Amino acid sequence: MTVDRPPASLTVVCQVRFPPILSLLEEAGVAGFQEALRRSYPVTAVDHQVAFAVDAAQRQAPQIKQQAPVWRLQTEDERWTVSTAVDFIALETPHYPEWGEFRERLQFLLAAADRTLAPARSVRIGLRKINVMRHPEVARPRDWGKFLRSEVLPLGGSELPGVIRSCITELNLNDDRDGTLTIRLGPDPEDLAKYRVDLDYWTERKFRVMPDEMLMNQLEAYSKSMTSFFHWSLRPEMYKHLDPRPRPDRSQR
Amino acid sequence: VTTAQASSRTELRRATASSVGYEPETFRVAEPSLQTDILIGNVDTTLQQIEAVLARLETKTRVRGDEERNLGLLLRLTAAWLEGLSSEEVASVLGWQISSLQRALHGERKVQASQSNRLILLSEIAILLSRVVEREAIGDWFRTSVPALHGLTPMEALRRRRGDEVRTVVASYLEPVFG
Repeated sequence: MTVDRPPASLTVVCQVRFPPILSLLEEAGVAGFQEALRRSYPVTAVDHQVAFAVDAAQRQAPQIKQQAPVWRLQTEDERWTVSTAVDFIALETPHYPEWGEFRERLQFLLAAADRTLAPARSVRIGLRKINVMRHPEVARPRDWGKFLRSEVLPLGGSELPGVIRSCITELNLNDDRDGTLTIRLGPDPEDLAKYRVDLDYWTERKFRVMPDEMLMNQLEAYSKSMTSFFHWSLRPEMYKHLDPRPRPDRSQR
Repeated sequence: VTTAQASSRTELRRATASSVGYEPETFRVAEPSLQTDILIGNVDTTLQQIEAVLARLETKTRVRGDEERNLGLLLRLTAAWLEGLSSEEVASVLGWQISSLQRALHGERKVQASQSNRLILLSEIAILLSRVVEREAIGDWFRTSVPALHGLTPMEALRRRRGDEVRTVVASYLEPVFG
């Protein structure tokens, strides 16, 4: 049984980092990658990060540093975004449907990257799931005690003499295969009535940047582990509220 | 010293990819003279760009660096169009080492003059092939034995420097009698 309905929002990002490809600094260098994805991701944009270094004592004039561009390709409905820069490619959606569709899109992206960028082996791969939950009976952080396990609440769900203004707990767990699960928990800084369970499973083990079974199976294993942790964090009342149901079998569609 | 960051979205454009899909049935045309027009209806922006770069290369511009840039662009666009092929297979059909392909795609090395003929031939094959094979089926086509190539797959034939034969075979698919 899985939770098919997102808790409030579920953003999923997969990022593959590789040694820098300097041709991706220029439009000509990204042209092949863009063309390979254009039919699925026709909306394109580039973000130029600009850093301003200001000397507080005013001994030096402000310095402006241009950083590497980040190329972004989006689906027409803007539900899926592919981004790339000199040292990474990423797939992101704030409307995660289920692993099957995510996997298909990721395979297509990795195949395009392999063919048009031919990156060296990865230096880091990561899958991140950001769950933001809400419940109609929750108005403030302490109300989550009824719906989430105490282990994932601030200070174990202890009664505190005050109102929580902010709290983020970060935990890094190493598995036995060079993977690390980073868990960030706490009330959503943008809306304290919401609760954020931010899970990031990553490894620096090297993979070929292409849609082969080894990489895809690793990412799927990370996805399942994070889903398991998320389910574990819920009390029965919250689990019931999320209305879990079996996901449709994609092969039967 | 404090640092602030700002992000500027300097470019936002919508691609003009055609929604017209390729349908093999359109080959059954009575008048060969109409065939080209119908095939051009199967617009693919990648192919249009490949054709534009090939045209620029044909003009043999004397502007220093132009030919190198165009060959680099041609490589990227052709690789983009070869859906279903891995980077190793792209290198293979070009007759290059994978490391040569990587260095060329990474901008660490220019496409050598000795390599450009096979790249241009492959891109010409891609343009012809687009008129008979759907993009999603390209990988399978390259790996399928072709009787007219004496049983070789197109990939094997290209690897053995028999690209001209591959081009002839693909061009033969476009003969009216084939439909």
